[in-house]
Amino acid sequence: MWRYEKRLQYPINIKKKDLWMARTIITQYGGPDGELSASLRYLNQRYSMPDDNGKALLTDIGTEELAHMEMVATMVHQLMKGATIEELREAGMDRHFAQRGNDLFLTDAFGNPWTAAYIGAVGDPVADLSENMAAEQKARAVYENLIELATDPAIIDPLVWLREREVVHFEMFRQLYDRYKNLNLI
Amino acid sequence: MNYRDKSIPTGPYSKPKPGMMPQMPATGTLNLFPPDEGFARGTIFRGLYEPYKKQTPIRPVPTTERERMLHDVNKYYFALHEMRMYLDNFPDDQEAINVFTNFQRNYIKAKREYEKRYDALDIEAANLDTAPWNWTVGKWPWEGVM
Repeated sequence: MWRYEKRLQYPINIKKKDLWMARTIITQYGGPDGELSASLRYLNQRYSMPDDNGKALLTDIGTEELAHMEMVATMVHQLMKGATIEELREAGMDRHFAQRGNDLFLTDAFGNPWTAAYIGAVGDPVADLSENMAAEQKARAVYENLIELATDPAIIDPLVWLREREVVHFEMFRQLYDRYKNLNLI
Repeated sequence: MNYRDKSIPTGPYSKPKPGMMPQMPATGTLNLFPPDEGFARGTIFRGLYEPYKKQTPIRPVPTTERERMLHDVNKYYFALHEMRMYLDNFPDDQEAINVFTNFQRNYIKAKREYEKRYDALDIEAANLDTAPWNWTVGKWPWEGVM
């Protein structure tokens, strides 16, 4: 069961259209290290966690990633808002417009559609948690790349915030990982 | 790096401290940012804050009463969620549970006050009892300043 609250986890108000930036940020929506991948990775692994603490942590982090997905979608939506056909064409988004119109779509920065192959699940909590720790570090690195590309503070601020969340989640996963290793639960 | 570090780490990721797991002692004082500051920084745990290239977070400055009230909902829920994840790993920490319940009270209060004056945030909102139905009133979160 999930409930929706009609608010963003962290506010986003981008006023300046920037289609090139939208084309890069989209990878955190539907790319390999993006928020959909993160959410589904954790929510899918939680069923085989060996104790209730692990089930709780994967549920809670997986849930937060859904809120991050909404933030990233919001950024892309606001960056594209009001774009003219000419602007879309100049930014190389004519192909996106031809197929999707003004819809967002779950792709990486190259336009590759999201695939379940992005998420790992081997049924071994230590292996799965290692994968999650790596995923958080990769997402942190991608957010840093995006921060380098961005110039508008209205874009940089939520990117910096989302980057810090990756640092926090990494540490939470690491603590669970260490505990499982020490308990010899596997 | 741990939740109780006194200072904000500046270096790269520190190695896990050996022998600390599986049980972290439930004594001592959690070193938390105040909810406002934690929300702006992206964590309420001082020991987990790791700024990128010394980047200072922009503190969201609410300009209207509505934004201020929504900011309260955001920051208390955020702090609550952080404590929930911490407690998933350290469920015996009564001090952390006390902090959690304090944030929980503040979140529920902030949400009720916001919904009393503005839009429903979820299906539990008290202001969903009159026409026009409040759920469909107002901007959606991705549409910018509320």
